Amino acid sequence: MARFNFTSDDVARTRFSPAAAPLLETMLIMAQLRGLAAAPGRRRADGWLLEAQAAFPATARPLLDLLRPCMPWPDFLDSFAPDLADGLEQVRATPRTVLRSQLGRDWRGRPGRPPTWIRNLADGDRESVELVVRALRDLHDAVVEPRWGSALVTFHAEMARRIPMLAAGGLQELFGSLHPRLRWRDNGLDRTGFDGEWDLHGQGMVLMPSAFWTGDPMFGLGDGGLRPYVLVYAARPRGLRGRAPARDGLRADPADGDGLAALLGPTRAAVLRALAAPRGTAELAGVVGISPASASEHAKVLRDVYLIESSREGRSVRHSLTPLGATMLGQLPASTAGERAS
Amino acid sequence: MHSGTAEGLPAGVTGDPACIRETVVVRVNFTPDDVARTRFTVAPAPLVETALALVGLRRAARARGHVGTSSWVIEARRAFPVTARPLLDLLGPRPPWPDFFDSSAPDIEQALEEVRATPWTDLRADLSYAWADRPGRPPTWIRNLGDGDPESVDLVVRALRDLYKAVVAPRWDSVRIAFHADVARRIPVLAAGGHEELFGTLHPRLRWRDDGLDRAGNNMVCDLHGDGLVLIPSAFWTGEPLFSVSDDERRPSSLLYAAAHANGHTSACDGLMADPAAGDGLAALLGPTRAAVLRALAAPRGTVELAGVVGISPASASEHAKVLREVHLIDTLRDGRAVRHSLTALGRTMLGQLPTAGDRGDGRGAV
Repeated sequence: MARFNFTSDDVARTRFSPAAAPLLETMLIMAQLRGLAAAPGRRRADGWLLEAQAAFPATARPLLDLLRPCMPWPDFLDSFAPDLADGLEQVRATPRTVLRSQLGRDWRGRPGRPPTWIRNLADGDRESVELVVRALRDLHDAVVEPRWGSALVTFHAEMARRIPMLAAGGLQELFGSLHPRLRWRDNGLDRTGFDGEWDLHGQGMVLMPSAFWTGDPMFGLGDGGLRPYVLVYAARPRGLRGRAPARDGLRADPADGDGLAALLGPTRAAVLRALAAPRGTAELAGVVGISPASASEHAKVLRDVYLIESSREGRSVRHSLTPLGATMLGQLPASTAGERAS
Repeated sequence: MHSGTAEGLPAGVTGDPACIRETVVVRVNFTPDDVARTRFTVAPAPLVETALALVGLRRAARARGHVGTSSWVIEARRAFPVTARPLLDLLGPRPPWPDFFDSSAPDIEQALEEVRATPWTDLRADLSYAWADRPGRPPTWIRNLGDGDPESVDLVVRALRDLYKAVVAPRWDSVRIAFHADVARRIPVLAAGGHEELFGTLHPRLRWRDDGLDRAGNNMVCDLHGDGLVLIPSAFWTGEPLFSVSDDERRPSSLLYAAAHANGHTSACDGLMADPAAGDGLAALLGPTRAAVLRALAAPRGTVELAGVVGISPASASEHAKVLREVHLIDTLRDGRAVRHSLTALGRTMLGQLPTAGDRGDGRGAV
């Protein structure tokens, strides 16, 4: 059993990731593709995974050298950045010493000798680093990008489902509900299935639901207190519960209707979306393309159900999303620092 | 109430700024289990709000002329029932208050039943603690109450019920709205920033530091006992956060704070209105039929039953359910050949209910 010891500070700093991470999702798809290749036919693969297999780009093939059939993989590829370019920049910026030690450790457990380009990579060779970055980008563009819309929907639906659980049951109940292998017990988190014991060093844990991952929960380790530990777990797929795995919802180019517009009407949905950035009534009207009187009326309806709030600033009014509105739009508040009572 | 048990807060602790001279820090130590078990209460508690309404009236009386008096105070003074007067003996203007008001029961009669069932030994300890710092001797009836005299207990129960009916019940919709609006504001902060950020935003005097919660304002340190802390936003309370640290496992420790009002009032209490002309905001947002569909799903239902309850055709019910499902307000579970619709956590929040214990395990086996 794996055990994560939390201090009280660690629990108090445990939070959800504010956004989905495209590079992480790319790696998780890669892991499942490797699993599929290692055991063809042993399990029925989801349609989207077979599509991803067919779309696998030639330029991503170096990853097959770099990544052994099963995880764990070298840590420098783990990025939780919400933006792909930032994630790739982190990979590119990995210090040579880190590359060397992680690749060395990884190959000690693997048969044969690493190919030349990987030995160059371990020496920090720029060209080899670019090869990896390009492989990751192309794999992302081929298999993640076409499904990113549904991945975001899955991510936000997961938030909408879990956050009220956290509020009403605390983290203890939340952990218990994430996956059968996870359980809060005696000031720490148990994860059955592998062994080890870690302390969180006061950094807390970041909870990261993944749209593409279907396996057991995994942990991104915290570099001895430099980064928070990350718990990656399979988001519950959307769609009809109890029916077959709805990750088939991850098919490329979903005819993803606009659910919010269907719920609220297109204009009111546009008003709510426009308020992702706070705006005055006139500006709001301009952005949505309606009259100020109509914008004001829509704002009132949204305010009455706590999706937005309006604050008076001198003679004008400023509308902004409430946290409930942000949840409805599928965003966590980017920074809560502004919420601090002063 | 909310002033602790035997280890409760010392006298002189109140929301009244005039009474806070020292800035010594009170400290609540959390074990990791305590943080992991810290959660919001699921509904406002009518008895607690009743007692706090009384305290609010007393404080308003003392501060007369200093601050603008809330309209609810003016109305409540007029409506104050004579049968509730004994409570003025029982609840001083400042903590500590007796613990037996501290029922989190969501129903007033159930809460009053708990008051009635308080063992007299508890009553006595409670009352002598609450009186320890008040001048003079308690009146005879309160001493009788401390002996468990049934007549005195009835007096208290009646006083609480009548005060609830006259002052709190007419504003209960506002209280509920303030409660849910507050929780709706807080929980994304909790999700994105953890408890550390949450505590930092509840009140300027609260701050998470080194495995515990600091509260400027008085001098006491206490430990939770692994059962966590229940967070209670209150519509009637306007003062500083109140801790109730309890050894009694039936009554978890709690932190009560003034609910923030969603619509720009400084505190929810300014928005408390009797019989609010609130209109039906949900119907205005979703249209009356779809709002009715969402409300009907507060209990899980099949499509046909849903159609019957709302008074629409099954095809129409199915269509509304689809729209609500697309935006994650409801979930649909296949049950043999039929389907069953139920609210998601987001849907419950939208309706102003937190999930109940029964819903929470449902993520299990998701993979």
